[in-house]
Amino acid sequence: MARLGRVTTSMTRNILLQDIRRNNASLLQSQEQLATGRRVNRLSDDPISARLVMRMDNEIQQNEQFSRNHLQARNFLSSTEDALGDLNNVVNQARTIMLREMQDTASAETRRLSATEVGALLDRALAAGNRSFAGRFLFGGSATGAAPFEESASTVRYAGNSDTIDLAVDASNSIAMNITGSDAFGALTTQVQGDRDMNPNLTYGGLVSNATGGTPATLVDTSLIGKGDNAFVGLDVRFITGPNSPQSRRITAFDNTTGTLTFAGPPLGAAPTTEQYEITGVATEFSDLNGGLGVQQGRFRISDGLGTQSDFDISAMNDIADLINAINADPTLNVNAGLNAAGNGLLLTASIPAANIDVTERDGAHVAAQLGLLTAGPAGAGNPVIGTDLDPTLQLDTAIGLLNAGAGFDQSSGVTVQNGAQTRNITFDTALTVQDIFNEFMDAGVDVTPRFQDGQPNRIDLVSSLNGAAFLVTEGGGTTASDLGILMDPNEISLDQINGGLGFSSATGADVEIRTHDGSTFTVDFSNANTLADVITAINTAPGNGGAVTATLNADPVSNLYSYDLTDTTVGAANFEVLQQNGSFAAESIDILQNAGAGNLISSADQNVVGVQSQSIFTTLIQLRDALLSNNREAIGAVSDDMDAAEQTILGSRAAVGGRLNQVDAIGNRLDSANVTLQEIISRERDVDLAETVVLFQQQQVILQAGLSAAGQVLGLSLLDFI
Amino acid sequence: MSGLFSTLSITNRALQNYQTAIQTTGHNIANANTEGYSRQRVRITSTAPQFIGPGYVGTGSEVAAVERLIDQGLQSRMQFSESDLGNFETTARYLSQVETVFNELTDTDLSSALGQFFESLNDFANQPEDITVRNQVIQNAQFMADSFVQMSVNLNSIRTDISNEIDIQVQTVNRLATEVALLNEEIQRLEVGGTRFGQANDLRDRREQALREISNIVQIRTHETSTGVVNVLIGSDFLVLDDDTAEVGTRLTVTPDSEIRTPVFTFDNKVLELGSGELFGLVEARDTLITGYLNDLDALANTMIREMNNLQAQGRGLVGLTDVTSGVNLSDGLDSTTPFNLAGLNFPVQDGSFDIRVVNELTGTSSDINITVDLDGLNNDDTTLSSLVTQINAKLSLDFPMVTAQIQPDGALNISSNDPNFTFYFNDDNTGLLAGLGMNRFFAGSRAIDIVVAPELSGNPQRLAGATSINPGDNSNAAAMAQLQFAKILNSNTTTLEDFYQGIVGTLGVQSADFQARAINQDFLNTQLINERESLSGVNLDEEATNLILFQRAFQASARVISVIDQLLQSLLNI
Repeated sequence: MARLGRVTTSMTRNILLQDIRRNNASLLQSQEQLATGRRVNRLSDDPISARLVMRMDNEIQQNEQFSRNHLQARNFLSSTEDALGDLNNVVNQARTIMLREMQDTASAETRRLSATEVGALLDRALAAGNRSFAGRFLFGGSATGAAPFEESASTVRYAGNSDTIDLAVDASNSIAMNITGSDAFGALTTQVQGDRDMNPNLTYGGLVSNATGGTPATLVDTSLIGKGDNAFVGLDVRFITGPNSPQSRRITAFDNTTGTLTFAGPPLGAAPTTEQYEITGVATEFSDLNGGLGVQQGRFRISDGLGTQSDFDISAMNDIADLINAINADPTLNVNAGLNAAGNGLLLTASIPAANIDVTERDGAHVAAQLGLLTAGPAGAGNPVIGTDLDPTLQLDTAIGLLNAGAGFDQSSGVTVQNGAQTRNITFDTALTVQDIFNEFMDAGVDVTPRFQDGQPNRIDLVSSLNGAAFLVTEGGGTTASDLGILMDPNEISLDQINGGLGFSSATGADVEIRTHDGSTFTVDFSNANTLADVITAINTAPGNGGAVTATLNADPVSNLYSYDLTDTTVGAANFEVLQQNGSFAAESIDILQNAGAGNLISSADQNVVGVQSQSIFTTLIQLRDALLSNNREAIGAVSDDMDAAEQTILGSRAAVGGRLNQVDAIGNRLDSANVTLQEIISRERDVDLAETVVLFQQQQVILQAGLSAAGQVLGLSLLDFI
Repeated sequence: MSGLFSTLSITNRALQNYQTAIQTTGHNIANANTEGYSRQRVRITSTAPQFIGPGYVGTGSEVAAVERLIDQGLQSRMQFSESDLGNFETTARYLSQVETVFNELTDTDLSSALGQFFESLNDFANQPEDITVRNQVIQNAQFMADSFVQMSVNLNSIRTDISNEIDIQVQTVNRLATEVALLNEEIQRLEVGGTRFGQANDLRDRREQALREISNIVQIRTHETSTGVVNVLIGSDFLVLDDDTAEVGTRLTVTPDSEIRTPVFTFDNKVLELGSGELFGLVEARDTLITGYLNDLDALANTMIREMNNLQAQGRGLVGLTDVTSGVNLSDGLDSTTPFNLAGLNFPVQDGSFDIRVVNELTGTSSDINITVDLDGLNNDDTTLSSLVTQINAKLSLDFPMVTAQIQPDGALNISSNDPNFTFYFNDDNTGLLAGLGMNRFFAGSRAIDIVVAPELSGNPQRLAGATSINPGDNSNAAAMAQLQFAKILNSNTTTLEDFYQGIVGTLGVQSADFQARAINQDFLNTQLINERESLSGVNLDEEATNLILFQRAFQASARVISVIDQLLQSLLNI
């Protein structure tokens, strides 16, 4: 308090009152803190602490939610684990039956009885596969609403999908709570893999427009002028109204200055004055370029060498049509944009002969390079800049005329798909986009689903969801299957699929001995051979062969014919022959157990490939049951490999589930302890220190009392009392 | 004349002087507790001496003046201090009320509602098939929306309260200004001829008190003229000029959310130039602070609505759509021939495309129909509502003629399928158009005050889009909704929704604490000034008692002198 010259009566009163008021206020605050047990009751009590407490409260709430997610995942995973355990038992029992019925003591009668037993095991496997938790089927992927496995006519169809159901376990990570039927049971084949990069071209994209006249082979639409060279080549035009509706035609050329579209195929009917049509196709998005790596955000510069330069920022653009439009709409730049002649890159052309185009980067970015337009220097007066191949990825909405570098594919011959008892020839005459191809397969009703290959998004795989049936793809008379890359490859055909499905068996140690004309011999071991191609490798690389015998595979996937040729290159008097070793049936099963005598060639018959099959537990059980019923000892033994594979799949899934359960528990524990720490911090920030506050409270009481009694005494004093 | 009579006359005057002094002391004591009163002092001086040959002889004393003891400089400092006190106390008072509205640190605040909403979205991602969980999501969303609305309404009603208080305070200013004007007139009349003979002390005290009271409400500048008149200015405009006042009032602006009253001069409707004072605090609290919180809440609600609508629009519920109408129509500013980015939609829209995915429910196959939204401003062909409808119908007409788009009479966009075996949903929207139009939306509205779960969704939990495929167990969209909790989508993509809200609340806490502290400090400062004034102008009863004794003794002495003169005269008369 500042020194004051005079002390007046009301000043004394004011100061006393102010002090008492202040003491009262702090007493009230202490009282509130004691009553609520909290130091911070309002935001303004301590804004920093209040903010901290809110954050912590929030975090605790989130952690509790994550704990609930864990519980959900845990329950779901535990049920899955349970079902997989059941399945494992089924495999073990099936194996016991198989071994028992392989013995010499087994008879047709015991095998028939065992077949019934295997039938029951199949039912148990189905029940495990159709297990549900809280009304949700465990193994259907995201199709949780219906039973994923359905038995019909000695096959089991998988109706689920390969989607995982992910639950958030913390702010940035999630964990899959389900194992799909394809993972746990091997319910989907993965064997028919696309082996062809579909290499789509770029496109400006389709639009809906009105034709304003034309001739039977072309159509003039001036509204298309300026969309860029080759903008629509490879896309299909479908006529919505007019005499040509609902026909469609592939566009083979586009004139950017007149707006004339030229079509493939027979001439069109005469166009009326206006004819509405749709060009199918979606402009290639920047994110699909460069094999899916996309193009970085940023800008680049185009200058025309005549003093004009413009920057184009692709951050605000979505696809190449936006870029082409932006360049063509630039009023001062003497440069036009379009697609290059190959259709796989961009093209910049000089709009006046003197223009000397130069493309440069800006801001240290790599936009121009990633758009394939970066030039080493000016292109020279009048010269175009021809962009490099931008390698766009295959998308569902890619127009099929863009596939195979703009060559398209054989749409009308079709693909013959044989899946179990069902055979269909699937054609693609009306397909316009990749999605239409997919839909044709799915609508064919042969339980075959196409999908993009993992890691190779430009390839198409075909997967079958039918267990216990062989799945075969052949040409429908043309080149459709090979154009789509879905013809089966000898490298993909498992030896299990030969001999009408009986397969191939290898013995311990060498399987065959080969004698050549020069009298030398060598042995071949097929233990590591899994596919048709592996047999060739095994013979050609066998120790002791040394080029004496060359094995080749005559593969004709179009007609599904496969045979082996063994050629003796040595000279001598001895016979060229293949002999059995160690009691192995390998040579017999691939039909090379022959004696060519003085001849140089041993040729096998067709290997009778039935197609590919899922190595699922269902396939195994069905095959075992059928083998038992037909009392075929060899067929019973042939199941062994599949059974191993099925068991490996199940064990792998159990391990995955176990691992995830551990992970879930570990995260749960971490969250619990995190919450304890958070609660501690909250308590420290928000809760009152009782001892301190009680002492303070008493102190404030004493101070207030002192103030009051001082007021009473001071205000009572007056000189007037004494005169 | 000198001698006894002269002495008698001197003493007689002295008696009168001391009576005046005692009266003044009595006046001081009487006003010891009067607010704004300045103690007065009788200045007694000796009169001019008389020359009587050998030298000068004194002629006694006279009352030169009755003076106030004041420090004129202190007055203006006190006025400013009063203004600041009024400003800070008012702001602090209303911020406390705002704190109550936010009601944070309890279990019924908006951050709890946000947390519960995200919790239910997580549960939804856990069990997308479960109708109960879906209902829970909608209920929690509605609860959160209600919290937004409630807070918004409460903040707006505080704004209205402030407007009402402004109205009252403005009338107080008028009353006090009139008082000052009247006092001006009276003081001028009393002090006519200058202040040589003293000032109208008590009237001046009252005027200064009135000015201090005005200062508390509105910051003023005062200027005293030579005639004793004080002219008062608010900013650069006269509130009081001589004996005239400029009446102040309020101008009412009614917004849909609240009533805004702005203090103005009634005669020309000019807005008061407020520098400080209670009115400044009120306007500042209402138009800057509370409006700021409202804008922040609006931004939060707007982002929440945009993001949730964007996700809901691009997903599929347990059933596909057969009939969808946009939430936006002509009355919301949509124009069928204006490009979408210029049509004034609630959310930004950009160039790109979206898919209409038509599902054949019989076979389970789906087809994406890509709809381009051209908003690059080039070629004069940017997408408008009517061109969008044309495009959708053209692209659907050959393969899926059962699905059509149309503009409804009220200007809303409708897409519907007349074949129950063909449903559709939207997908892959990189334009924001679906959210902008409110197609298959989650929330209706665009601000904190009008956010509500869309009526088409609230009674229809099956429509809640947890999937991006037709599989009921597909939780990808639900998971995306739940992940919104951690998405940095505010403040140029640096802040999550919850962090943003905590930022609002944190700012409120700091501002409220700040204004409380400033109010307390200003109160101290003000008391200090009052004490300083008291120290000079206040009445000390002990001092007055001492003076009283002094004047009493002097009076008694003078009376004694008269008595001596009387005896002397008696002696002379008895000669």
